[in-house]
Amino acid sequence: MDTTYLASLQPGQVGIISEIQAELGLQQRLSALGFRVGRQITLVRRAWFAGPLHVRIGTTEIMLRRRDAIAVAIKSISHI
Amino acid sequence: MKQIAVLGMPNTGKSTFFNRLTGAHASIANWPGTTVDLMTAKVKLGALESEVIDLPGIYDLRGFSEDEAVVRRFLEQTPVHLVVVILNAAQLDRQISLAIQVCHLMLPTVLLLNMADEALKYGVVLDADQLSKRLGIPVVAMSAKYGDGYTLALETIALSLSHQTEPISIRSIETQLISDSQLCEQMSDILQGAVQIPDQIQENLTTRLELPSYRFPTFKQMWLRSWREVKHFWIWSRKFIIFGVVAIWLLNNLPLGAQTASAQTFSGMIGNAMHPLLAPIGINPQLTVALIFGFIAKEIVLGGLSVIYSKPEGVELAGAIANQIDWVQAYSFMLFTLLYVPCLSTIAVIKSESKSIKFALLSVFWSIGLAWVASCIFYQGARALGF
Repeated sequence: MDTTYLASLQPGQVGIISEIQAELGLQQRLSALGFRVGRQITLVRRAWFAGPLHVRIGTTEIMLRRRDAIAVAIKSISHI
Repeated sequence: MKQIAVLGMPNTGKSTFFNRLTGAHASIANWPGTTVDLMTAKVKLGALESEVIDLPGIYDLRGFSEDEAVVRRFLEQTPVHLVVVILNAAQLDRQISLAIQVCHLMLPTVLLLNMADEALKYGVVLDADQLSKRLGIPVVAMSAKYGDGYTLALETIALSLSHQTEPISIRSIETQLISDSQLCEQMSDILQGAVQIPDQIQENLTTRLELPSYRFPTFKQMWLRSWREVKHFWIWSRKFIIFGVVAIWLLNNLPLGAQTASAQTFSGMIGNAMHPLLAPIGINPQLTVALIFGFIAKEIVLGGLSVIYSKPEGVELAGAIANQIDWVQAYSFMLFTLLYVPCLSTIAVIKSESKSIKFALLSVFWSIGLAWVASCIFYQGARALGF
C-alpha cells in the first residue's frame, strides 16, 4: 500500500501519524508542537496556491508549509 | 539578590506572567553571552530581593534556533536560584516535554500551568498534585491574565527561593539532556491519569480558536505596555534633542572668531557644500543644517532652526525665516522634512527587525530620494507657474 502524507490530506480528514521522516531540527520542532507517532491529526484547511496547511493535534492548531508536511506519514484516514 | 529565570514555550503567556510579576519596573538588558536583549526586573518576593529574567520562548532545550541557543548559553553561564517554567495548561500533552527536559537539569524548578481558565473551557482536566509528585517539583495551575492561582504561584516561588541559598549554573546542558525516545516514554508516564485532554475539542470552540487563539488584552496590560514605550521614548528623545541642539550651536559658532551662523562657520561650510544638491528644491544653507540634524530626530528641526536664527521659537523665529525665504520655499522645506529619512531610532529598529543593513540603507536612500523628487516637482512646478 502506498504511504499517504499529511500534505495530501483533504480538509476534514483525520488520520494517525505513522512516521516522521525529517531532518533533526524539523523533527524536534514538530515533536515539540505535538507531532508524535500515534497521535491523531486533523487537516482543517488548505491554503490556495500550494500555500500552508492548517492542522490540529489535540488542542494545538498549527500552520505548516507543504514542504514540511511531506515529512509526516499518515495512516488510518477517515472523515470526521 | 536571588536570580530567577522564567522559561517557557512561545504563546504560553510567559510575558504576561512576567509583566504581572514585575509591573512597570521591567527594563531591557543585554546579557553576557547572549546576542539578544532580555527583559529583566527586580522584585521583592516575600522577604527576598530577586532579579527576574524573562528568557525567550523556546520549544526544545536541544533545539537549533537562535532563541534555543540563547537559553542554553544563559543557563550555562548565569547561576540562578530558581527556574520558573511556564506551560500552556490546555496544551500540556505536548508542552510537558519542556518541563521534563528542565527537570533533568537538576536546577531548582517551579512549574506553572498557565491559562488554566482556557484549559477548563476546552475540557482539559489536570491534577497538579499528581504532576508535582511525578516530576518532583512544585506545580501550580494559574491564569497570569486574570490572576487566578497567582497568589499560590507567588507563594510557591518564594518558598522554593528561600530553600536555595546558592545560585547554580549548569556546566554542560548537552550531557544532561535525554534522548527523544526516553522523553516520549517519560511524557506518557507523567501524563498518564494526571492530565486528560479531549481528543476532539468541541467544534463551537475550535472555530473561534486561531493560531494561537486570539487573546484580548486586559486594560492593565495595554496600559503597562504603552507606559513602558512612552517612558522609553521620552527619556531617549530628550537626550537626543539636547545633544542635537548643542551640536548645532557649536557648528554655528565654531571656529572661534567667526561670526555666528555666517558662511565662515562649520555650519555655513556644510550648508554651502550641500547647496548644489538642495538649491533645486529651494532649501537654503541655514535650513540644510537643520535638516542634517533632523536625521537624528525630527524633533530637533524646530529647536535647531531656533539656534541657527538665534531667535526664540514662535513669532520671532517665524518672522526671521519669512524674511529669508518665500512661501514656495517654505512648503518645499516642509514637504522634504516630512518625507526624508525616518529618524535614527526608526532606522535602528528597521535594521534590528530586518536583520539586514542593506534593507536599512535602502529605506534611508529611498525616502531621501522620494523627498527630493517630491520637493523638486513642487518647487520647480510652482516656480514654472510663476510663483
